[in-house]
Amino acid sequence: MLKLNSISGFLISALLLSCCGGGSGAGNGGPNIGTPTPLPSVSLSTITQQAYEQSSQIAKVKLERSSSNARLNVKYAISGALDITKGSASSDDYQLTYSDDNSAVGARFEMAANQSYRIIEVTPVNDTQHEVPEKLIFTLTADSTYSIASDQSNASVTISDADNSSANGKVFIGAFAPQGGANTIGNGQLSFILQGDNDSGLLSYSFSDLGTEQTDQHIHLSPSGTMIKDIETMGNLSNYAWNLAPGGIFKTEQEMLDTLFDGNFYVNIHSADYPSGEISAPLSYQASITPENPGELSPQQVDLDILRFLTQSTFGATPEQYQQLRGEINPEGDNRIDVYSAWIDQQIGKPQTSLLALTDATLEKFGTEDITIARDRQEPGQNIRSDSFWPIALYGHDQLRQRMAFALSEILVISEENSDVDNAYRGTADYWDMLARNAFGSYRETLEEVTRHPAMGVYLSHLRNQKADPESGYYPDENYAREVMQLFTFGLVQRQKNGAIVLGDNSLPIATYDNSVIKNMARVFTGLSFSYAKNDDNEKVVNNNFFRGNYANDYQYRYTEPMKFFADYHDYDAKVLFSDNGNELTIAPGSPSDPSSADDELNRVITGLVAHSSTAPNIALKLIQRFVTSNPSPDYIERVATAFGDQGDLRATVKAILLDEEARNPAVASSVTFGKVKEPVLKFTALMRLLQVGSSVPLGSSSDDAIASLNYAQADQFDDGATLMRVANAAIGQKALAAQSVFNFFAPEFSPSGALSRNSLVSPELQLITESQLFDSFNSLHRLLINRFNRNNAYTKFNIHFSVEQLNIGLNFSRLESVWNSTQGSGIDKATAVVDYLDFYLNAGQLAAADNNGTRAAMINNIAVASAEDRYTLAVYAAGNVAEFQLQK
Amino acid sequence: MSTIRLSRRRFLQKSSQLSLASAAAVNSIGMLGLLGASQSLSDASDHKALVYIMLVGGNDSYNMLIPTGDNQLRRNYETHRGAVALPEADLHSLQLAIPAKVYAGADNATTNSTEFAMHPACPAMAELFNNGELAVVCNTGNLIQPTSKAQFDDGSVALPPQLFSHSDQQRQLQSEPTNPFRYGWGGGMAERLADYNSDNNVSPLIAVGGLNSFQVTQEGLINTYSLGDSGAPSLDGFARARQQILEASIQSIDAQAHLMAQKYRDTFDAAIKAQTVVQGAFTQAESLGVDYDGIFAAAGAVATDRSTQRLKTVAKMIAGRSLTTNQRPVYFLEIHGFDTHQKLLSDHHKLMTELNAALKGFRDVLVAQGDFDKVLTMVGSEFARTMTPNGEDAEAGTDHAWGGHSMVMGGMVNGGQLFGTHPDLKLDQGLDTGRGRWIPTTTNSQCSAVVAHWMGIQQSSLSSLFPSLDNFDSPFDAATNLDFIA
Repeated sequence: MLKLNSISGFLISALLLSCCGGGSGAGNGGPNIGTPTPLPSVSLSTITQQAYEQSSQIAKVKLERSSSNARLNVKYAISGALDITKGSASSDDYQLTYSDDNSAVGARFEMAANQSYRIIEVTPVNDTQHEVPEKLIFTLTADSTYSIASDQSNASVTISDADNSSANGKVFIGAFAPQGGANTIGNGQLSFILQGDNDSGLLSYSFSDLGTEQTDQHIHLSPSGTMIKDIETMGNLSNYAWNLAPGGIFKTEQEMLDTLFDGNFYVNIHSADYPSGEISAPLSYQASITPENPGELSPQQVDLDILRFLTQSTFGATPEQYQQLRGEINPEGDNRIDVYSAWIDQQIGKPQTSLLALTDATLEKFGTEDITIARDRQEPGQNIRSDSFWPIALYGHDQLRQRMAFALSEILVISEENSDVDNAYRGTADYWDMLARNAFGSYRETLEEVTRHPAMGVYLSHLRNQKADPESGYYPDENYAREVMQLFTFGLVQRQKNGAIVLGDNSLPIATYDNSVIKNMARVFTGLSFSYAKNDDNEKVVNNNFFRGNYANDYQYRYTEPMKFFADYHDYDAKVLFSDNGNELTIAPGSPSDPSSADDELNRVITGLVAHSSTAPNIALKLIQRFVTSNPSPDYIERVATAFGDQGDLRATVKAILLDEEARNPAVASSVTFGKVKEPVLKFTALMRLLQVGSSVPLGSSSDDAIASLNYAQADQFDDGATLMRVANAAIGQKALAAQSVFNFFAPEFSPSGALSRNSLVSPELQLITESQLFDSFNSLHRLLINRFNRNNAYTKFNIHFSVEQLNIGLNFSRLESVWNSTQGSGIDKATAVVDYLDFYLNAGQLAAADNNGTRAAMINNIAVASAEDRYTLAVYAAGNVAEFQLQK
Repeated sequence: MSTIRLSRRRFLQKSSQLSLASAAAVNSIGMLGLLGASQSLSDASDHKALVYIMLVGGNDSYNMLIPTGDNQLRRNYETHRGAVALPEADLHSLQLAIPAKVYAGADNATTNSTEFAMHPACPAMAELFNNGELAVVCNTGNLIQPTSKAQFDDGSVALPPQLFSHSDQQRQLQSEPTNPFRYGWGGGMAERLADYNSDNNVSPLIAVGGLNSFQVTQEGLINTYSLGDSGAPSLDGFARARQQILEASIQSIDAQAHLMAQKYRDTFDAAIKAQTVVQGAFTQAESLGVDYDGIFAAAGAVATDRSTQRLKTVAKMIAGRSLTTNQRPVYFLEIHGFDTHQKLLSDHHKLMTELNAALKGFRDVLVAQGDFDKVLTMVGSEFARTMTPNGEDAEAGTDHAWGGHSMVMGGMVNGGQLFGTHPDLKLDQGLDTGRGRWIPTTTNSQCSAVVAHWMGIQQSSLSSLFPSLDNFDSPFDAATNLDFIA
């Protein structure tokens, strides 16, 4: 170990040596000594960078020369880490030997005649001290007998206690107890797993029963209470990386490590009643405990991870998909990330199913083209549009793309609750298809298309938005300007890459913009209107009328093409927009005579919005919440935000979300906070996919002439057995593209009162689960079970193609029947198999894993004695409604 | 209220109030007999209910209450509203019991005006006002401390976080102008009024149509009960085996279970327990012989409008209040669509038609039930809208602004008056922060504090509920002109 005060000594001597050497070195026009043989050039490089005391792994450095076979001595200096907070090796930490003869290295590197290189081995001395990684830098110094290769004058190695395999982790644990005299029943557990090289570790803890709301959490030094680290987030931590960076009174990592092993760090949780800490837990080293090896999974854990993965990435796991992945993953599961990654690539390659094409195809059978049906007996197009979501979600091959479209539709929100959006059903369908098309592209392109889409234009009212005319007293509409910043990109406050709020000089969050930015941003979105319209002959023609209205006719050409700028109504003046880290986005004046200058301006603004440093963490959090968990760790957010980048690489983002160690960690099965409540649409699609829901109208052609079919040309993009799904406005509590407002169905920060908010945890989906909605949802499932989950209305009644009976939607219980029939033994045995089957596919086995098995027993006992007629409906009713099935971990 | 999640302290407190509480807690269904018994423990005549109607989206209230006459205020209105100014001839004039205060520059100087009218679609609201049953509190909004234009411009005063952001201003209206959001004032008030609300089967916090920030509690001990638009739905096909499994699940989700599963369980538990109470209340309401549908229809309310359905549901819950021992219930419902970025004149006309009929219908059924003196109805919105429009024709809309008018209605209201201070409607001076975004002359917390006090919060406890209240003059000082409850 090298003490702090000696590092600078080493550095100075190294510098001095190199200065002197440089002054008298060759190559600077020194005296000519006769033979002009060029000097040999010597160089250093690192062969093996790491030395480990525990495993006696040796670090290696290679000394080479370019020419000359004569004996050569090469001067060198040794120094430590340039960053004084880092560890530096001292001479008692290692021995230097040559690999070829095991002889010790002396004050100079020696090369014998004919030796073109030598390997210098750094053998660590295995002491019993706990040391941070220690750097050792060799620097060649000049001499008249050689020259030094300018880019290879030095080589560094690091000496660490042990490698970072999990077996070398060191475990610190602690229990939360009232801090000082705090009167609280707050409690909890803490662990810190320090990695083998002592460089950083993973801090996890959970606590509960604080008396009042949490306000902060820190790591402190005992007994003084000096704060060492502010943990930026609130609530429980899971594998939060702490790198032991010096803080408080400490200047070096080694001091931090010594203090850690001395047991003088503690974590405390601050609350409103106890601003200096309500509960605290020490980090106590437990030499006898070794951490679990997270790499080894049992076959059952592999199974459940596959189900978790499919639940995260599709509209519901099916036996076929499970079998496919199970077949490719080896029993230990250690290739599963590669298999999932390949599966994602396959999904990306699947042809996109189209909501607009399916809507149009269905309309032909229900709609306006058939002159034998009076207009008032024809199904409104918006009904067809909203029904058409279901076959895509339930049977589409491009499951991940459509899940991504659904997730994006909950960020870049338009809603048919707005009557213009509802009426423009072809535009609304086209908007969905646009999101799906961009699902694995770039968020920047997505946002540009969103901004120009007439469905968004009409929803957030930047369609036909005119430049200001202060004389007349009117100003551009600010609606889109506001939400494109707050909701679609960087949000209200400046964030770090891990999502934590950045505090300004006044210790308050830094607002990303103010009202003047909104006003200027509104000017960017002026002059946009429809680019196409319909003429009197129902032909699609270019629109030259800025003021063309919202009317959605049968063709809706105006709603399926991007909006364009009308120069007379765009504000071409200079604009000062938002700043990010001191860089202000300003727009130079454009020119009304140059049609492309408004487009250029829009492109610049969109690029700037997405590249803003807070956009990546903001969108990363929202997407993680849609796929994996409501409360991701800061590191998880940061990893996904990094994949997102400054253009919004959605392909990298979706992989980062689904393949992240936090998403794939089987240990979350026992977590009481990880995961999310299944949102109603996903809960119902999962159940319907497993139980092969359908009507009697095939999407493709019908094999039986007596059965009418949709004859949809792209039916091969869907699973076999895909059918028309007139789901209608079933009161399940959620409907795609029908959020109540631009703030979506639920807020990303919704934190229900009680244990969740006391632990600073959010659960957005719970905002939808109210008492009345719960009953509506139960009743909707009941209707599905009795085949009445459908849109049977006057329009259906008059339809000449399909009877009401054909359009009825029902579940197919044959999978459950097969489980029952193929299970040997008593009714209890058979019922157990059915319950476990549903638990496996719908719930990744959470019911079987629950500590309290009362629900499982009640399901089994009741299903065992149910009549054959009620058996499966009872099983599915229970699986749909009991609390144990509502979460996705 | 969920009994399961009560803290031990709160549970003991409740048990002492209501000796039957522990028996009631274990008996989830078939509670009517017990409830009848517990009712005698409370004083049924001491009943007060708050009904908060939130106009979501930002009501353009400067086109709801409009200056009239040959005066500068009217001229300012016409000049700045431009294409969206409403002609005086179409308005419903108000007879003010006392002249209204109008802002007249700095240092709280005011003048008076008696010439105001209601929107053309609001004849019933004008009539309620003139009958002394409805009052307007002028230019209220979110503020942290008293704010002048000079302070606003030079940044020398703390402003509500994210002014003009929709979601934030909505939350702040329902709580306090702070970030992060901690609790709604309805929720915090219910916790402080726990002694009045002893019922273990249904929460005193009742939302109709969905959850909200207003009723989020501070300590998390009371959950909001959310009714559907038309009341509590019943469960279809809830056969014995289904019920057994669901009840087993409620029992099995214990303190070791996932926190989100626990919350789901609490909601389900509350739904089952409250179902009996709500259905009983509705049965009792129907037995009163009040023609709910007929009265709302006569008021012009459209039966399928959510506002109609929601207010009918609230009225019936109030009528059936003997089914619960809660004596200070807080109801919350929303009317949507007020974010009129386009087509202000036509869309706002529809909204005012709906609001006018909803308030009139609700007032008439409460009178028919004999409850109008017990129920304070408060109408608020997150902000008003810019004086200047977003366009120059009849299709023009208006944008997010700041201070706007609130309303209060009920038998206890000092009706027929404009409270607080009306802006002078002058642009680029005085109260204007741009485009006619008026700095509020009364903070929402002052206005809400008067209501909370009526519900039973001591004046000395109000600043714990509204932490920013101490920054302002007391709402009970005559100078603040907030004496809107008799």
